[in-house]
Amino acid sequence: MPAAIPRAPAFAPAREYAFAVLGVAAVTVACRFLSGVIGYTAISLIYLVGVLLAGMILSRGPVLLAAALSALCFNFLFIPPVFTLHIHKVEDALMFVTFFVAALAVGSLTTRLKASEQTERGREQRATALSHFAQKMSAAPSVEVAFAAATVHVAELFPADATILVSQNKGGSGLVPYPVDLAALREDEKEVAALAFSRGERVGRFTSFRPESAGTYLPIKRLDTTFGVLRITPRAGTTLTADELELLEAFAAQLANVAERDRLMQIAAQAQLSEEAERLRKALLDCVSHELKTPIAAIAAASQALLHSALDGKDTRLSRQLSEEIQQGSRRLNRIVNNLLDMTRLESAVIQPQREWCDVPELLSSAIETEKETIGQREILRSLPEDLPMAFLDFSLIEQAVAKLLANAASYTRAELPIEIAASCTDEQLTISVADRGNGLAAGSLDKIFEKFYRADTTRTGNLGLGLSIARGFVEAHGGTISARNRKEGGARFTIVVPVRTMDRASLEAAS
Amino acid sequence: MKAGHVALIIEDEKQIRRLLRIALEGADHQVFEAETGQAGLTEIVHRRPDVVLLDLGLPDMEGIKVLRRLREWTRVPVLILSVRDDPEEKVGALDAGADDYVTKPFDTAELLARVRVIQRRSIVETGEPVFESGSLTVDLSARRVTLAGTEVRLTPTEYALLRALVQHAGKVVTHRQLLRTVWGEKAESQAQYLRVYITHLRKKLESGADAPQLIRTEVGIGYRLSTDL
Repeated sequence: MPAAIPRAPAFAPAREYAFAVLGVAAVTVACRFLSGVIGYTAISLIYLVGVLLAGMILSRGPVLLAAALSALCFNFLFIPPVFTLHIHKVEDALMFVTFFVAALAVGSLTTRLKASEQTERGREQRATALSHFAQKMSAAPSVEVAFAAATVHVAELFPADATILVSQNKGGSGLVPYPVDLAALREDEKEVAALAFSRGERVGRFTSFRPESAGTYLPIKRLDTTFGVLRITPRAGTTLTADELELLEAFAAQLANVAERDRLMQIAAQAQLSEEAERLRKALLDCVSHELKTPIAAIAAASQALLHSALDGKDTRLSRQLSEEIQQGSRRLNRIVNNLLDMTRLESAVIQPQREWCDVPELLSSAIETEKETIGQREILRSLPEDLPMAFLDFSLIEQAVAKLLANAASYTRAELPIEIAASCTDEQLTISVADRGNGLAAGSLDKIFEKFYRADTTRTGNLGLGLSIARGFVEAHGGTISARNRKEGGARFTIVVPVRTMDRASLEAAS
Repeated sequence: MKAGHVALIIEDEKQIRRLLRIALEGADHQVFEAETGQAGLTEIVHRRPDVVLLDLGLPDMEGIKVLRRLREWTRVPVLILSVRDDPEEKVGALDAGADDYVTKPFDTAELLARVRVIQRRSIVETGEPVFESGSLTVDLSARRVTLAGTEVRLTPTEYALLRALVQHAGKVVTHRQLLRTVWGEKAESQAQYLRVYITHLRKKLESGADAPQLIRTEVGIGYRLSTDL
């Protein structure tokens, strides 16, 4: 917590005057005792020493008082004729005047020295405060955190409350307090704040413009851009010095730096985003044009050849082959279109899980059935606990996610290798895993495989690289996670974890 | 199937109509076509078809509306042709009185099988008490279920569920229909009962419970009892 900056008092407290009077009284008493021993010329020196000492510890007013009192006491008690203010001898008059001038000079010199020392110290403290502030601002991870820290910092450092107003639009008309949950601004406050924003200079209290306002408004400005306004409201009964206002202006400049940094970061993020979008668009175009045109070409060529062979009326074996080509091509087209539709559905966020009580083994069987053509003759090894409870989930979403994993495993491993499928369930979550015994995932591709249009093996065609990202989309729409890792024994394992409610079969049977 | 069944295709895509015509004529149907819902309704009145193939996405009115209109006066079997893989749409059509559905792109053999099944009179209508599929025999009059000649013991609920499927053998039966038939109207939303008892039935009747062939799951819609094992 920053220490509040010490403030030079506007006038010396009564305490210092009392101290001056008491000091002079003490010196006078001491001199009365000494007057029998030493002459009154020496006594003037003792008084002068007293004034010097006062100059070192007291401020100007009390020192001047001490000087005047000392002169009067000296005159009254020690300069003959004593107990009068009369001075007969010219030497005595000269001594009195010299004494008075010396005391005054000493008094004002020491206080000036002290004042400049104080100014120096204040400057140093302000520099420290500013550097602390700057440090805090640059350490803040976001503009929100920085602004919140700034208001707290200012309130600790000055006898004033700070509010940051940020502009909602470019014109500065929509200035709102930040954080927004603070009390709303009064209309007149809004007006003065908007003035500070549009003029780009300090207005309000302690300035020549609208000095009747409750607060001072400093623009948060960098070069030509104004980001918002720093409002400073001094607490009741306090004011702000010019130095403090200057320091606050430096704070406002720091805030502008933070806002500028944030703006630049946003621009950079935006640029990165559009670059990513561009990359995706190109990948989509390349992929879709290739993947769609290949089966279309196959269908077109095969049907044309079929037409010719039909005209000849011969070669049924060839006709059969050509028909199969057409069928395969159309299946491939259908799969691609379905994937694109699923992806679109996911990206437009229209998927809402429709949860119902499901039997997990049935779900897995259904997924296997869905992908039976891709799976072909592969063996599917299932490992499911006997007491798997009923799970409350969207059958269709999870079934499709599992189907995508099965299709992925089947299309990336050799036909003789089995695919393993396992499920387990706790009270809160269902885990389904699909594992293969293929070559596993290449190092570095683990975090990419769920990305759109990513294909682990770019030489293998026949899909858009959407299957796994659709699976992830379905699982995430269901509040779950999907992950992939290589197995120790070789091959890859994909795991789906979804939060579910479960119900024991026995209790269900009792209920029905 | 006796020759000369009349089929009406209500579908706006010319190419699909042409393909359906080839397939249906190959299966001894006399085929009529309608491009719009309105024309389709008129054709039903004139042609008295034995089966209607209805596309859900028609230019003039929604297929589901055509279905509701025709169900106001006729029980003609209706097969829905749906382009979207959207279970809700299909359940909606089945609830509105459709007999079954196929999703485009469809397999011609599968389409013809569906057309055949929905035209066949159900076991209730024929009065034939015995249903057979593969090694499974269900004798509804004797309440006896055998698998490859061996009697299978079913609980009353299991039997009621199997009977509901047998009564609509070959056709999809929605979750709601099954729940209503077996557990009563109040249980319509209790799909979990159905899941449990389907699992039981499969364990008792299917040779490989891992890959059910007899009782097929239609994701998001219901179940279908295979007739051709």
